[in-house]
Amino acid sequence: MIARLRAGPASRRAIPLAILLAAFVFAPFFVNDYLLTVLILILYFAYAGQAWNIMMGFAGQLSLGHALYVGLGSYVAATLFTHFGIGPWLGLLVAIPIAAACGAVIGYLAFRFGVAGVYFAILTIAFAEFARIGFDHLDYVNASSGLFLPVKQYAHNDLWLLRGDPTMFYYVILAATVFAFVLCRQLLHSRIGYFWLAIREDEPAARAAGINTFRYKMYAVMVSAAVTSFAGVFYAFFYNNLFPEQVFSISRSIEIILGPIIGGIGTLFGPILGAFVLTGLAETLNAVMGAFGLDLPGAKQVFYGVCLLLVVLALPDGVWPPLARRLGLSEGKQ
Amino acid sequence: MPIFEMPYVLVGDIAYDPATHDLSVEVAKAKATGAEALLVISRLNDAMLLTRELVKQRWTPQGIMSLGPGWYEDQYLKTLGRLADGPISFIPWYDPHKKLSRMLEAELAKTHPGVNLNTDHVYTFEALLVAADAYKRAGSSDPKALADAIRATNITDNASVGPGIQFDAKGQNDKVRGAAVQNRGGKLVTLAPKQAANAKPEWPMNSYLGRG
Amino acid sequence: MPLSVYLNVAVGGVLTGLVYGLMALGLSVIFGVVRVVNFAHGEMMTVAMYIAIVTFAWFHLDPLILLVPIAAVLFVFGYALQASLINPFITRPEHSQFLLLVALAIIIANTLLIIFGPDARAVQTAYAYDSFQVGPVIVDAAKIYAGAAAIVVTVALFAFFRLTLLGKAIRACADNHTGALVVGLDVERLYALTFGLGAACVGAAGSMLVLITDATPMVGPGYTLLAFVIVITGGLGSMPGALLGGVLIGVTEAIAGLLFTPSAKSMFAFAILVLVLLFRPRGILGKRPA
Repeated sequence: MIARLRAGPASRRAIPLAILLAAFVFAPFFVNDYLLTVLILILYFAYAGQAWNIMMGFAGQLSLGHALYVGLGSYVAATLFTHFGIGPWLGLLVAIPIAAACGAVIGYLAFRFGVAGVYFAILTIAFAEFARIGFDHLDYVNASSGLFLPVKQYAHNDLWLLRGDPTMFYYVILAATVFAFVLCRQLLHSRIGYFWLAIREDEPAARAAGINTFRYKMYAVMVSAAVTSFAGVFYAFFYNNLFPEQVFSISRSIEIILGPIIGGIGTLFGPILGAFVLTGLAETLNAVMGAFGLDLPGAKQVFYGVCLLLVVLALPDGVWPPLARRLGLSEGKQ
Repeated sequence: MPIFEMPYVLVGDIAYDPATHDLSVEVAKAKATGAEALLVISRLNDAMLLTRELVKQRWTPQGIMSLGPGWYEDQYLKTLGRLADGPISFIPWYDPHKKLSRMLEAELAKTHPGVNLNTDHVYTFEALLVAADAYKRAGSSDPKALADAIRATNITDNASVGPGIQFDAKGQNDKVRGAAVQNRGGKLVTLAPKQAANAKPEWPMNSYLGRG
Repeated sequence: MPLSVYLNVAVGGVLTGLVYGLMALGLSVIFGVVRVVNFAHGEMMTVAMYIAIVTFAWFHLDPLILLVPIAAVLFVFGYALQASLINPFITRPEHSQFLLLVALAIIIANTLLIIFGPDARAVQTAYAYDSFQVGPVIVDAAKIYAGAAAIVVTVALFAFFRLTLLGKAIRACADNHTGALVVGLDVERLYALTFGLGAACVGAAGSMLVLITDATPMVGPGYTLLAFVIVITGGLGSMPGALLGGVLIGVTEAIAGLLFTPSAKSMFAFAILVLVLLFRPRGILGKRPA
């Protein structure tokens, strides 16, 4: 009992967390189709951002090529579905090892040969670009003409084949985001998580303390890649079309990264909050520009860029850490 | 790909990145095949890059035949000037002899001088024509009556190449015909089909050398 | 295929590679000294390209003459950028710098889009369609002028860093930041100067590039990536390395386009990058890490 009372922020966080979750669960009953789609987008970025955060936020390895794992996940699942009629959940079981293996190859090459920091980041971009051009020439997946999933009218939602209305997709991605949150929380509070933080803060010191930094960095890349691959599976079945030019592009990678950086890198709530802030901002700008009848291509993106600039200037650690301190919900020293 | 009994040999095909900034290698490769004619599928930017490389690498094939956009567009003609002449585009087009086409050309010349009439304008116009015609025949804006009227469309006085506008069971206008259009003297002339033609093809095309 | 085709393509690759090298040189100089990766590099070059296009349209000044004032304008832009926005970020983590420069890149590219629209723009110089024939080799005149100018600018920059006191002071900052502070160098001002010089390289490269290719507001990211590939291949911080990397990547892409399908030619550039990163991480001409 006393231990519980002393638990401090952890238990104080439980109540707002429960309210937040309840709000998400009941949201589809109160919002229209447009808002539902926006919420799906937010959760998608929250999920992918959480996955990226494992590598950068926890273990300190900057990846600028996460579109690679999104692309692999979506292409593996979509190919299995269109060529063999294998559903997305079985497809995920194939996509996860493939994405993790690719992450392992990149990690092995980089960490064995001492490629670190900015060089490592560029290496991840190079592999994503490599995959983009490669898939552009892979006739088995229709190369640059794109891979399309058959779209039909479904009498009822088929969760097993992920065919159905936006509400079903909403709950799927909500469940995934909750799963990723819980997974990251467990990882952070386990042995592996502490090792990652040690590597992030000071790698030579971590090595001196006896941590096999190579192995734990490899784990970070593989776990991050594996978790990200589901974002790809979801993307494929939600949008029903895949073009190498789009799924593997650098801008896809950057989209994933912006959320956690804006929200607060290395925190559990950062990726979720960041996704909210950025997607919310983009949609608000859309609405405002529409209301004023402004239809100037590029104007929205300029405002978006200015907002990013202001956030990074004013809040070097992202939005969540100062907000959490204000609310007394700090996640403690990470 | 289906194999047609054609008396031509494809000596090579070259795919390039549509976002490329440099097509010198591609043109060098094409020139090295010794091809007599160039069959291209491109957009505006790569069409201009290709033309520039053809000039610089001093290669004028007998003909350039385009199966897509780019080569007949106003910006292509304007940017390249006398170097724009020669390519033939195989595209949906308007019949320059039809009354409505002449009216559209005259009207466009008055309101937007320097803009060539093209398929985008003509199809937008014909879409409005179909809608207005259906409304007139339906006599109301009742959706079902309008849809029925559109299905029964039979317009013979139109602008695009072919006998007119009618829709088959799938809603396609299967009466529409493709055309061949050549760039000549900064203008677009129609070479085929016969009833829409207003010029004879220039073949082989004039050499790029000395056109400057 | 006749040998002359290879020769033609290789010569073209070398000349284009020189211009790419000059652009990459800007990135190399900035990273080598300031230690900030300029993710807005391609966008800065796009700005230079549009300045060249607009001034050419208004005054019919040759981009090769415009090169000097455009480099000067970009110098001022780079200096101001470093002095105002980037200097406070020097000590911040990489992802923070990344976000700052990505935000800048988004703003620059879309401002250009608002002003100039999405269509490609080009300059029509008198020699735009000229080429020289030397035996079996036909060389694009604009590429020769641009390649030569790239070499001149690089030599000038090299001389600045080797021979002038200011250049030496900047190199001192790069070699030992703390040491430079100790001996009383105004490091922030020198950083701003360096960023300005890097931006000037980009300006020069941009005004030459309009001779070779068209500009659209969204070409930036492609060039940023290309600059990364070249700089890492040649060796970050090495000035001859940037030119060498540019030529190597230029020729590789050209020959790969000839031998394989041209649409996959950038794969070979990335393959070279990966090989260099793995087997010679400091780049072909890179200095041994301190």
